[in-house]
Amino acid sequence: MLRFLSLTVEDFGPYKSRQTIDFTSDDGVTIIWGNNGRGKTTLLNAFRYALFGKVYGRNTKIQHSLQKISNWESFDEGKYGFKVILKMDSDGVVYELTRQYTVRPGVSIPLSDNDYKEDVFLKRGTTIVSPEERDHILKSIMPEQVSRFFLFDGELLGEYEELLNDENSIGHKIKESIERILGVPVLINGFTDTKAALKEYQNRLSKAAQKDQNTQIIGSLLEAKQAELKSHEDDCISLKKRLEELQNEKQKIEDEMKRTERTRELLNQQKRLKEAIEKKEEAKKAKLQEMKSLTKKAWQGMLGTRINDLMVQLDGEIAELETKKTKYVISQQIVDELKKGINTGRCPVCDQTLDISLINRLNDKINNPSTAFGSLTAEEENKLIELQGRKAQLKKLNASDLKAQIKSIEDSIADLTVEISDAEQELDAIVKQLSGVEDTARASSVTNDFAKCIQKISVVEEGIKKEEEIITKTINEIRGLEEKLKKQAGSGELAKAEKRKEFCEKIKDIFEKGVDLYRDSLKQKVERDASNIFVNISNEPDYSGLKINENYGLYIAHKSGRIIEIRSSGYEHIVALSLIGALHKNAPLQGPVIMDSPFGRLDPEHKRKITASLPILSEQVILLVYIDEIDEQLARKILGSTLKHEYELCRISAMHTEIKKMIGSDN
Amino acid sequence: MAEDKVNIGLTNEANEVAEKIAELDCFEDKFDIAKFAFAYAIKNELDKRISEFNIGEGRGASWNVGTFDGDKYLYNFIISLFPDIQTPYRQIELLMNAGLIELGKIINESGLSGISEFM
Repeated sequence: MLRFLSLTVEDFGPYKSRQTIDFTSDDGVTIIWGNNGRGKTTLLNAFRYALFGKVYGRNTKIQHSLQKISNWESFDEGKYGFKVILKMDSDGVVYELTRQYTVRPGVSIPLSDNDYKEDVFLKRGTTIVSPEERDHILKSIMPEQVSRFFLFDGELLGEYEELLNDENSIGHKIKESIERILGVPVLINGFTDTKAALKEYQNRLSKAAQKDQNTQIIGSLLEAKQAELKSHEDDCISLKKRLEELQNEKQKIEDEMKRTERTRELLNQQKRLKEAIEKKEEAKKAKLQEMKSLTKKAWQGMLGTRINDLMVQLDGEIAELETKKTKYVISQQIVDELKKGINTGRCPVCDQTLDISLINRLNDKINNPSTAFGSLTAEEENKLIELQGRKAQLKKLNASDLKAQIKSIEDSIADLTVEISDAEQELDAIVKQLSGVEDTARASSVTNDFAKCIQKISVVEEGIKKEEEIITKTINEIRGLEEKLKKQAGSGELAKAEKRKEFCEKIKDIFEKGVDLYRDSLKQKVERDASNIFVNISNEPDYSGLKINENYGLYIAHKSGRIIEIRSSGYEHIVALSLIGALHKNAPLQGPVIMDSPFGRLDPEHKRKITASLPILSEQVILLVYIDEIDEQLARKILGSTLKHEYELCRISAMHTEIKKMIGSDN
Repeated sequence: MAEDKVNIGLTNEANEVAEKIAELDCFEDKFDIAKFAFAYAIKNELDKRISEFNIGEGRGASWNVGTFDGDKYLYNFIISLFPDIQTPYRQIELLMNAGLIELGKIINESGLSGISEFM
């Protein structure tokens, strides 16, 4: 069991000068309280730096430039670099691990990581061990590959959901780490070694067969098949190595995709906005063109009012002249009738006697154009023709009013102008945000790289599948030849070689079956323990437990037996904690658990239950939590005597945090 | 009969207003703006107070009347409206300049966002 005794940080991130956190005590929980920006993640990184020389960014697996870790205030005061000392107890042996980052000789002001050097010392008791022994001890007490189960960022617990996805390289890596912490590689190594030994015995068998005249041909065939098998196995190993490289590459790209997600989103938005602006500009251009074709004739419609007014006026004048003309015609008809009466001396209408003087007066009136019954003068006749001509001309000139159409186009253009302006403002804001991004070209090419990587993986996987088919076929052929040999072995050298090979084959089979059995048994144990923890901390009585898959991914099981396909991020968190707890219970390697912000997504009841379950996770638990992430009083009450220490990260300045032990916190 | 104009054009002042209107990009060219201004003058009966406008010499855009009024629409309109006018194209030139000067006043006071408000 590994246990941390103390951590000393010197000019590491916000921790100016030398500061120590003491964990010395019996089993239990240490809580380090700190608000945002005070350095909780930096403390997690201090453990990581001491053990592996690495520092990760928040929520990512991307390694930071180490120079940036130096305390800024100390840096400004001319004190460059930093140091972390981790004191540990591993199965009763006390180790003190010191890792320091100091300026290289000859460098006055460091500018980059190249201006620093790193020194690592490991003391066992009071003696500093050799670098080789140091590396060996560190790999034994805390292998980096399993560190994710000891040092973890609560925000990254969602990664464990990837175990439910067969195609995911993050899931693949986590599965590898899980098998490593559970000790599966020990058996796998045994299987690999016995398999290699078996090959040797198989070669010896074919050699022995070739020496005997009766079995010479089979021996040669066997040797040829063994060589063929080796060649395919070598190819298969190369392909598997290539696959692993590609899986690593894929994971890096996935990390990069995650890191550049916001940038890619901005780039997509930028592209969409540019396309939208271009479309709207086109629409505006089309509207303006439509407007131009309308304004070519729109002015004619504007003359309409004047034309109509004039037509009304002309109609009046024409009507006046035409009325006069009509009156004259009617009067002329009356006179003609009267003229008939003059000839007879009697009125043709009332048959009365007509007075000749009256007839003469009437005749004078209709023959005088100045009277109301007079005919049109020549001038009036011309006027009438002119007026009728003007009216006819104006009628031809009258055009339709296009005001409504033009107004509608203007409104459309105004709307488009506003929309373009809004989109341009939005685009400007995106461009500003992108100006702070170092490598936008990389962000846009990363998805393409991802697709290429997936394609390469698929080709390599296909290659492995084909090679494995050939290997199976060749193994069967070799078995057939070995069977033939067995029948002819007799009791000489060939028989001895046969017996050695068979013996080795049985040992190999034991390891091979052992790996499968161990895996199955571990999975059952992990499923059982994770289920127990889950049921303990889950708030949902209808959930009966967890079901494990091939990748150690855990599904939530409903009491009806159905699997819950979609789960909330809070439940994802609870499942991940249950898995980690189960792994710690079943791992040959025991160690402390250090959790950064583990309660972020949980409701108060789950926080309470998880707090109560913390001592189950590991014998030593160190929590890095922000104030109010869990209720202080409640945490103390729930944990009781298992809460060993409490520290507070206190702000001195934005770049300076002091670690203070909380009074009366020691149990 | 007095001799009519063969070329009609815009004064400097009217030309400046036409250029401002052209910035709206609603007209193909000043040719169409000039006709629009003429129609504006007619609609608003500027002919009845044409003497109020100080219309100087035309140094801005100018056109041959054959090009400007190829279908004689303007000519026919003017002689229909003003049968006594002896020089219709001179009248057309006066009115389009007056129209632009009047539009210029409005644009200076209220700005220019569209042309439908003048129709």
